[in-house]
Amino acid sequence: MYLKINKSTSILLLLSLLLIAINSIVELLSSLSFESYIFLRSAVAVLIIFYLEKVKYKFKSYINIFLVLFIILFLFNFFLNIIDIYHLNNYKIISNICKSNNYLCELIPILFYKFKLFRFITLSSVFFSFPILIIIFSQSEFKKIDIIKSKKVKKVFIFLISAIIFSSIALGLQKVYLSTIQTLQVLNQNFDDRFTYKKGGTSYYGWIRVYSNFVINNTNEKSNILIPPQSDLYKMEGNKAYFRWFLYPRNLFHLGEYNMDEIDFFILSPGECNDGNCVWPDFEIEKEKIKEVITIDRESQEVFKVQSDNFNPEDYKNKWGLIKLY
Amino acid sequence: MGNLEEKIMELVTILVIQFILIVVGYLITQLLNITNKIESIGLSYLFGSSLITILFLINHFLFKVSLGPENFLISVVSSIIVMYLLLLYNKKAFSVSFSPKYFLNRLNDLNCLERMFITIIVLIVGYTLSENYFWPITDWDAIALYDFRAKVISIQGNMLEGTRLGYFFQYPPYTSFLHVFGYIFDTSRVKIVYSFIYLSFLLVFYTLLRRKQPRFISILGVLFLSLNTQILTHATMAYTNLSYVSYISIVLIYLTFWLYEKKRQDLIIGMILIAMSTWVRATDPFWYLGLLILFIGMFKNKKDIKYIITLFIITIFTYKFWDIYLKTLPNPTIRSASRESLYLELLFNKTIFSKLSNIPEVLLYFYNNVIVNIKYLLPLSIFTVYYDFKENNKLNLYFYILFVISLLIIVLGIFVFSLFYETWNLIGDSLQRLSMVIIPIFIFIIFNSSVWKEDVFKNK
Repeated sequence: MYLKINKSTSILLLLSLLLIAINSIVELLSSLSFESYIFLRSAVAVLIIFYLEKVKYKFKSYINIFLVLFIILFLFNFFLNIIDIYHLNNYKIISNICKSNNYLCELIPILFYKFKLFRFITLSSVFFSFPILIIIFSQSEFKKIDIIKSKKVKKVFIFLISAIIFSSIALGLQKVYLSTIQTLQVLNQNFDDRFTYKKGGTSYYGWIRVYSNFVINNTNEKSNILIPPQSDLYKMEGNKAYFRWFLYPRNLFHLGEYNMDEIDFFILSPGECNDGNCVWPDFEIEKEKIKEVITIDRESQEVFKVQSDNFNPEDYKNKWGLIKLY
Repeated sequence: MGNLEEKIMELVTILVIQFILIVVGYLITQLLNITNKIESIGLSYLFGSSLITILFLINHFLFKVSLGPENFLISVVSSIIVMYLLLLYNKKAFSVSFSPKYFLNRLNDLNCLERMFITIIVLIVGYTLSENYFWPITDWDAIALYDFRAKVISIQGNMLEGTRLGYFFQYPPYTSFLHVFGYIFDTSRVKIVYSFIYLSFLLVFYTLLRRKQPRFISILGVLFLSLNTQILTHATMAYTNLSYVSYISIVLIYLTFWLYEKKRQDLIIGMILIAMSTWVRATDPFWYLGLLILFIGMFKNKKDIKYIITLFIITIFTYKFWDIYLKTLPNPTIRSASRESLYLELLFNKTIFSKLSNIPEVLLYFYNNVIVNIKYLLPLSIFTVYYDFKENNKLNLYFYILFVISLLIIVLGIFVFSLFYETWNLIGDSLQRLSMVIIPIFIFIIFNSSVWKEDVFKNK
């Protein structure tokens, strides 16, 4: 039993409403896993494309207007994502404009929050790419793939494969979209330091790059450095095979691997302990052996040097740094 | 301004290096009489990059040339001269003309949907290029091994330091050398090589699909492959898996074509690529599958036996070359991660039957880490199997057998691993990467199926 062509318009309308409902509800409530709802939307989108061909109404001539509208909205969303909308004053042009139009500059944030426009920024690219893809596909040879008239078995096959391809394209474009936004954020950064951004910033794994730069700045290339034990607590700085990539040609050792008299530095690390109250080295070091303790604040990246007393782990809990030995 | 000039120079340098590798590979394709331009370009990078990396080590190993820019230039120039002379000797007229007109004409020939699909593929490849060019390496294994040793080699000009550093020689150095080629010419954007491998893979995949399918279906198949989450993710990662998958899945497809159509050129391309795949990852077991096809094919195509034997020797040499080199290093305990001894041990292991109870857990682990990644293709395969059997699509039936054997190899591999390592079920990521090989084969089966052969997708 197939639906007759004269019912196409109502089916199309129904499907369109369904797509809008899925777009709005799922996007805003995140009630399904990402892949599942992309596939669900794709399935509906493919049906819309197939049925759109069966509809012969005037609105088809206006379809390009919808296309342009969605592209403009998409570009606007993209633009808002690449600029730091919450700190517009950081941009020189805007701060200059604000000096002369103070009222306007105060009004914009009020409207922004009042009408919850930030919701628009958080919409994923999929929200826009779906309608755009539907319109483009419906105007291409895709409509010639006549799912309605094809054989029963192939009908299901074509529907499935079209939905998978549609969702794959949407997911692929999402990657391109996110990657472009991220790339534009770091264009002025030093190439190696982009590692920090990519790995979630200094509060996450990206910290290892900043910390390594600190170690590099405070040691020479021939230094022998003692690192924490390899464990989940010290995932990066305790993993010699990993940490050496950042510090080579400096030599890294675990405790017991090398003559302690020839060690030049100890890594000082709190690791990732849950209570944030740990530190390595977790043993005392006599002050006669210590030239200085250099610490770095993880948030501000300020460096402090202490001509140390005895090294007592209790005094350095949750601190990152280096212990320089005589 | 100076900064901009530096950036442009860096971009030009890394692109010129890749271009040189393509030129070398292109000459090989001409020697092999590959006339299809897309196939030729696709194979060029795979051939060129592996040949130059092998020569790079041969020059270092035999002639003590340091692993630096001179060695790269010697490898490139010598291979170009040798291949040019071989072309002259064989009186082969080779075409180096890539007139834009040729490609424009082909583009003009496409319908709107095909253009749209190609645009999306170009966009995706462009995304990998941008991601690989603008971002440094961040992936764990690349940091721990592949890129680290490239950095060490580019500084030291040799690999001796690796004996002291440890965790250095576990895999053949193919991708590391590709990184070295960038570092020795002062560019850090070495990750871009993965985009070239990815693009080459897509091009060759297209030409292989195009042999039996209309253009539209072939483009659709490539789009499908290019957008596969795992493959696409690895196109922006500095791991060896994408390279390995590119080589070995193409090998298996070429050799299956050879088995079916008995075209000698397929055999030669397939066997050269098998050798090269062992230069990327020697430990993964899929190249044995290639050897199995050769063994079966020997009985069908007896005329090709001398080619098979010659190419087999080359393959074994390439497979063993890395181990041979390692044996000459000062620390005799250094070995690459070989599993041969493991398999042999298994044959003589009497406890194997007592461990059969592992099987349910092995199968569950297999499902969670292998089947899950191809789950979305399984409903499609119901249709392709139905139509392929109905229409007696023999070529695809061969591919089904190949696919099933690949799955069995993976299950067997997990089982063997479970016998010897208590932590066998804790490295799901590794298994997922290893089993990526089956994805292109599965996609090839779906798009090479008879299910498409009807008036639904009328096309050229």
